[in-house]
Parts: sequence; structure tokens; C-alpha cells
Amino acid sequence: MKELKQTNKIFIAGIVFFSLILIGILTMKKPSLPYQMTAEEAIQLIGNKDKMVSINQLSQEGYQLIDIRNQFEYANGHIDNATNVYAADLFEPFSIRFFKQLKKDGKKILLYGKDIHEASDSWMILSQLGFDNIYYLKEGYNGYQLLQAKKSLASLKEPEKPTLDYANFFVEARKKMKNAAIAASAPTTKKKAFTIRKKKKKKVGGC
Amino acid sequence: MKKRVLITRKRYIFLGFAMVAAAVGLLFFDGLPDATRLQADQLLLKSMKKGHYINSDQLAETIINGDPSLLLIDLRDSVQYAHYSLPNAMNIPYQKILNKDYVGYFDQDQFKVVLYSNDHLIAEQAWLLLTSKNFSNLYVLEGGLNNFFSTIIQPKEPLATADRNEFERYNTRKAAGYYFGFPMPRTVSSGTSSGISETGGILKGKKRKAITIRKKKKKKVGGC
Amino acid sequence: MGPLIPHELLSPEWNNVIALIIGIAFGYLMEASGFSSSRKLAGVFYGYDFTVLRVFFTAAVVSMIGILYLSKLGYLNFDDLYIQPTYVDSAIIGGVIMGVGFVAGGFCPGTSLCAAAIGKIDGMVFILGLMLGVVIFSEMFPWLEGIFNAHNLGGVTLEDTLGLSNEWTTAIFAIIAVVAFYGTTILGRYIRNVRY
Repeated sequence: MKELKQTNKIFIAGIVFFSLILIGILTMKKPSLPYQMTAEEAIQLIGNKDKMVSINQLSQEGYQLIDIRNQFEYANGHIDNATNVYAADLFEPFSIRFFKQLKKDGKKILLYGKDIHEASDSWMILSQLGFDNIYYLKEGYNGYQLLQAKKSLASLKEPEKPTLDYANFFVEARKKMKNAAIAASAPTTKKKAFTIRKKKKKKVGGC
Repeated sequence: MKKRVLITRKRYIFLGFAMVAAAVGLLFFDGLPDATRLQADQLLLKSMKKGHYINSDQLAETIINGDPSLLLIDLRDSVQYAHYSLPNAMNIPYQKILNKDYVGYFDQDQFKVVLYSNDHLIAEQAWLLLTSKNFSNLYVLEGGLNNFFSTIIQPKEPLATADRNEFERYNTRKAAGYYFGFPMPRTVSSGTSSGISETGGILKGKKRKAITIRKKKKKKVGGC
Repeated sequence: MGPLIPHELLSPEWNNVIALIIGIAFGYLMEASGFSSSRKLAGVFYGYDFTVLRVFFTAAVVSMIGILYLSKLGYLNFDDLYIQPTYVDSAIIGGVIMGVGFVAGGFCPGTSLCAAAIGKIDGMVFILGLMLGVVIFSEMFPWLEGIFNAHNLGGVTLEDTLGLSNEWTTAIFAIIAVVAFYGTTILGRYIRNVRY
């Protein structure tokens, strides 16, 4: 009798344990779009130049253009043949279906925003989800506008290129200042009053 | 009596089988793909909120105020870093952000970590990756060093018609620029100026503070 | 989600509370399995009672299965679990000493406390010996430090050393456990009339 009672306890504990596992499996919510690469693998995406498309190459290959700006900006003007998928809608079922279809057809997808930064997040996330056919536009829509206006693209900065030779900058500035000081022969240099802005504790970020 | 023994035995057999089934089931059960990472749609939303951007003025102010909880991380390669960087910045080239030696600087909650590169493209993408691993307290310097330079070190003088706030901001930036090593007109002739070397970048003489990251996790637990 | 305290879902002050609750449950289960009897414990070495083997094997397999399912279902971050580092030399030497002490004294440290709690004198004597051992060890520590810290492999698991994935380890362990349970049950039929 005693053994049966003990067996009962073990049995109940076992059933509870296994049913907990079962409940866990049944209530598991699988994400519809899991990452296809680990974070370590995704590092190679950072700053990857192969996936950046310059606006001059636009006509050469058959890219499917996707405008990820919002509907208003799209309506205000967009690159020819571009489809509008606002970045916030990227994970809506219809856009995912659209992307999957494009991938199946072997088409290259080219994302663009107003500049490279607007498209880069969406590009990076989609690339991690296994869409290896996605590219992003280096100059963005701003570059396209310049091109339409027949202006040079030189005013757009190459991403991640230092605009100045920083180290030399200080030396040069110092030299210049010295020369100016000598020329003005010292004491008459204008004294500027600097008002330091009151420390306003601005909160950054959140969420 | 015999019946009871039979029931007992049956139940043990059932439990034994259930245990083996559960264990073997593990081999075929894939589970959630990397459940530690933030889901893609939430990640996109977070990045679109832009709450992680910090602009040059805010950053300059924080640096000048000497906020001890600020940790600047330069994501460029070591050559560019050696050439020039922000005061007290640490160099972690972006290829190495998930290395075992460095990941502790991101996976923590005692510092406000500001990532920057020349532009904010690399910093932003690195932020995205680190945030997808559920690390918090990470910020990106908007516009990167390029923008920091053009606003703080070399601010454009506002037009004479601009309103007063513009001028005030210009002056603040100018003052900040001196802090970061832009030569001050009145100190040049005297030769020695405060902590700024003739050759180097910003405040090279200032010593980098030693940073010890408190590990967030791992505590000792005893055995039986 | 988990582990709860390192992920700050619970504050570290809960550490002791949880330890107390788990400790009470642990003690209760040991007493319920009859582990406060040194004869029962020693039975596994002399081959007349295999309760120890069954209880600890079950505990190991259940926790293995549980942890792996929790981590696969996203409730537990496997990488954040603390893994006790392996010191090869001290593990071997300590294991031998512990084994000898177990057979000779009839208790392991946990069960001796269990036995003392229900008033068994041998359990209390065992605890005294335990304390004595602790004192001797700490006094001799400067001499033993070399051995104590030798061959630190760090927090290695079978996955690191044998290349066997956690799932396979668990499956193999579960099968061995069930076979062992069955085998000891058969064995037990032949040695039923040992009196202890």
C-alpha cells in the first residue's frame, strides 16, 4: 500500500512535468520570419560595399526598386518604376509575400530612402532574414533628384569617408592662428564673449 | 496485492518511456530560432523611432560636463583611431564588436554607450546588430565624426539676420570647439595652452580613463 | 527571460529566499526518499539498495530535459547559465576523498544534515567530522593551493570536450538511466532479503 502511494506521487509529479513541456510546446509562438543568420555572421553585413548600389548603375541591371519612404513622400516624387513599401509596413503580410515572390523570380531588390541611412536599417534587417537579393541605394532619393536636375553628385558625401584630415586640421588651424596673431601684433585680438548655454538636461532616447 | 504491483510496474514503465521520449524529442525539436534575439519587426520599429540618436551638441555637452557614465566607442579601424578620435574614446573596430573580449562593453547597464564612426552608417548598423541581441543603453552619434566636426569644431557663423538662439548656439559650439582643441586666439602667442599638444588631435595628453565593466551575470552557486 | 536574477527580473535579494525554498524542498525530498539512513545510502556501494542511483539519476535527467526545453522554448538563456569550472586535479582527488568518506561514513554532506535534522546521532557525528575536515583543509590551504588550482579547464561542458551536442547527451543519458533503473530492479529481486 505504501509503495503504491509513493508511486502515485511520483506518477503525478511526472505527469505534471511532461504536461508542462507539452503546454510549452503547444503555446510556443514561432516568429513568422526568423533570422537566417546569427549575429556573428551578420557582422559582415556592416558597411558591406557589395550591396550598395550607386545611382549610376541603376539602369544597367534590372533592379526592382522599392521606395521605403512614407506614402506622402512617395507621392511627392519618386524614382521611375519604384514601388512604395513604407518601412513600417515591411512586415505586413502583403509586403512579405511581395518580397518572397521577387526572390522566387530571381529578381534583385533595391531599397532606397531619402539618403543611404534611411534604407540601411531596413536593408540590414531584411538581409538577416535570408533575403540575399536585397541591395540599397548609396545616394538615395536626394541623389536621384540632383541627377534629374543635371547637377553634380559631388555635394553628396561618400558614406563613411572622413571629410577632413582630422589630425592635421588642428595643426593647420594653430598655424593659421599664429600667423594671424603675428600679423595683428598681439593685443588687439577681438575678445568675444561666449555665453555658455545653461545646462538643460535633455533626455535622450527611452523605450 | 498482485494487481497493485502490476499497476505500480505499469506506471513506472510509462514514466520511463515518457522520459526517454522527452529526451529523444529534444533531438527533433528545433525550438525557437535564437530566442535571445529581438524579433525583426520589433527591431525595425525600434530603429524607426530614432530614440537612439544623440546629436553632436548633446554629445559635446555630455563630454564637457564630464559625465562619468558616458562610454564613447570608436568603431573605425585602429589606424583612423590612432590618427584622431574623441577624448576618452575606446576603439573597438566594428568587425570585433561581438568578440568575447569586447562584448562586455555593450552587454552592460552601467554606462551610456555612444557608438560612432566617420558617418553614422556603420555605427547605426552596428547598433542594429547589438540591439538585436537585446543589449540596451546604446546610442549612435548622429552624423558621426564628420558632423561633429562641422558643427562643434568648425561651426558656421549664422547670418546676421538669424535669431538670437542661433547666435547663442553658435557661441556655445565655438566654446565647445575650444574645449576639443581648436586653438584659442588669445592663448596661442603664449605658447603653452591647456593640455593641448601642438601635433596631435584632441586632448591627446589627457589620459584615457580605465574602464572596468561589471559583468552583468554569473554568480557562483554551490553543489550538493 | 531567465535566468531570473542575472536578468534582473528578480532582485538579488531574492537569492536567499529562493535558496531557502529550494533547500527545504531538497531536504524534504531527500528525507522522503529515505536518504537520512546511512544504510540505505551505503547500499548502492554494497549492492543491496539502489535508491541513491535512481534518485540522483532521475534528478539529473529531469533537470537536463527541463533546462533544454526551457531554453528551446525561449524561457531561459542557455549562455547565461553559470558553469562551474573544471579543475582536473582537485576534481579527481576530491572525488576519491568524497567517495571514501561516503562509503565509510554513510552520508554525503547534504544527507548528513538531513539525518541530523531528524535527530540521528551518526549524522551529527558526521557533521562534526565535516567541520573538522573543513578547518584542516583551510589551515593547510597554502600548501594545497598548487593542487587546488591546477589544470583549470574553465567552464567546459561535454559539448566542448567530446563534441557531443547537449541534445544527444541528454538522450543518451535518459536511455542509460532507464536501462539502469530496469537493471537494478531485476537485480533487486535476487537480493531482496538483505536486512538493514
